Amino acid sequence: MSNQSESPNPTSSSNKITLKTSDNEVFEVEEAVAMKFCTVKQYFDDENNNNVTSGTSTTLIPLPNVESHPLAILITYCKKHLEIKANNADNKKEMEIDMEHYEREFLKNVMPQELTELILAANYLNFKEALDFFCRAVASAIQNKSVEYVRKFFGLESDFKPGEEEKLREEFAWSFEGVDED
Amino acid sequence: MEKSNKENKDMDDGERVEWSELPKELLPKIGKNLDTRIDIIRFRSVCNTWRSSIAHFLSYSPRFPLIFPTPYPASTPIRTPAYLCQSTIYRLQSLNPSSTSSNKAWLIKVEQDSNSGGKFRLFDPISNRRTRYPIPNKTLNLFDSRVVELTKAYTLRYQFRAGSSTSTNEIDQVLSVFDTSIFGVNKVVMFPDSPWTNVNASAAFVIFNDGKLGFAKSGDEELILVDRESFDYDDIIVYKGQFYVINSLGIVSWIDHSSLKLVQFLPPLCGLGSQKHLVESCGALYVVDRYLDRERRVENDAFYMGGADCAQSIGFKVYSIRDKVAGKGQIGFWVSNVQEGNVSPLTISKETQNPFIDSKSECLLL
Repeated sequence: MSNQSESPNPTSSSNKITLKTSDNEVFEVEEAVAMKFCTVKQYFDDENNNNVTSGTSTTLIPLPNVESHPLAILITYCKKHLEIKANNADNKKEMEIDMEHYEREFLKNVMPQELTELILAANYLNFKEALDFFCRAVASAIQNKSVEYVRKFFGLESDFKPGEEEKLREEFAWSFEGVDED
Repeated sequence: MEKSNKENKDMDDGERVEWSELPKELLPKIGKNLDTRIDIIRFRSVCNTWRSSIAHFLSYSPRFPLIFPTPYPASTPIRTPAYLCQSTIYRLQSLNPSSTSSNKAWLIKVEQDSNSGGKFRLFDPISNRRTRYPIPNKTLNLFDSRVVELTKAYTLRYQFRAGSSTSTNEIDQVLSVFDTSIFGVNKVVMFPDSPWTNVNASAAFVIFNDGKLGFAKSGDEELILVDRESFDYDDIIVYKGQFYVINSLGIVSWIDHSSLKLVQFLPPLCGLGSQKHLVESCGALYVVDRYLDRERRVENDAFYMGGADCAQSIGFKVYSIRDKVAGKGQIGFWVSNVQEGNVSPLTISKETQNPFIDSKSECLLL
């Protein structure tokens, strides 16, 4: 999944951008992919402004807060995202269906602990679509789960005072309307 | 899960991040994806940081009952507004089953009335009749239960003030019933409807008068007929944020609700059953074709008494639509409860001795 396969380029751009992760791995990605990472785009634009002569030469962008493992997954996700978008340029509904299908398959291969890494990496890279997707994924992981389960899942402890705890329970109480005896 | 997390951490040379590093600004983004009240209450009960990250619900989100145009403005005996009511079906299971209570899960159908201080009313999920809560103190605390919201259901009703019961007039006597559902309204759906929805942005479709399809928004003066030519709509559903409708021939269309245009979604199914239903299960859309023992449609509109209840189901056929999940296995179904068999919903509710319906009886093996 994390391999840098030579998939057909979904856009016309053929410029490559090199990303360097915190664990010193180097990824060469299409410009179209890299530009989805707003943090990279920002850096890239700033670089270009400072160095107008750079032309098409490869730019090396350091990502000190991202490890290679989540980055590889995010690149795969991003490529697929662009590909689906390009394939369904004139049909938004079809695009959504394909995207949803891909995302469902995607999640099957993601461990809960990977989701944390991915969400943090997507957040740092400011990759909006992926961040939205992972937030949805986290939400569906805790959907229908008890409060205790969610606390365990996130390694959190309740920090409510005893009085507040009581009030919380009240929110869970359903009182029923009296029904006449029949 | 925690354990395996730690084990992975030890095994990996790279450092694993923990959920505690989750930036606070992402919490609202996660929480806003929860769209049931119970999930939001739970989210806000995790810890103080989580609690302050999302609101309980928005002040402009839908509160039921909502005033809604009546489908029969001319023939209504008394000028009274209709109300759109929402009920929710939950699956309930005790988190700490004691020796006395079994570990069974129950299906319950409740309706919360924002006019009566948010009190709940209990309904039999299958017969839809109002039932009494079996426990004397009339409260149920969901904190100790595993609660899953399965689906929402909508009804249109006339509501009457209890005050009218002082009259000896016969009509008033009948009307002193707190609320009555409107005859001939087969199905009501509303979307979007979540604690994050603005009530003015929600659209509702109504199938009434044995097959007419009407549309309105909360607060609208009248119901608009979506299709002026055909009146043979059997069912409507919201599936993945989109309205889908099926007619008696088994033609499934989706509705573009800004233009109110129907777009045929699939070739006709040609099911030979009497009544088609659209059902969502495990993320996929199905058509359930119900075979009845007699003619369903009642010719005389004026004395329509809910024809579908009179005819008995004798069998079902289930068709899957866009079956991407597919496969065999247990699928919890809502409308149906048989494997092409011959059990009617009513039989099941009679067989069940408990006040709630055992959710197991709802399972359908495909």
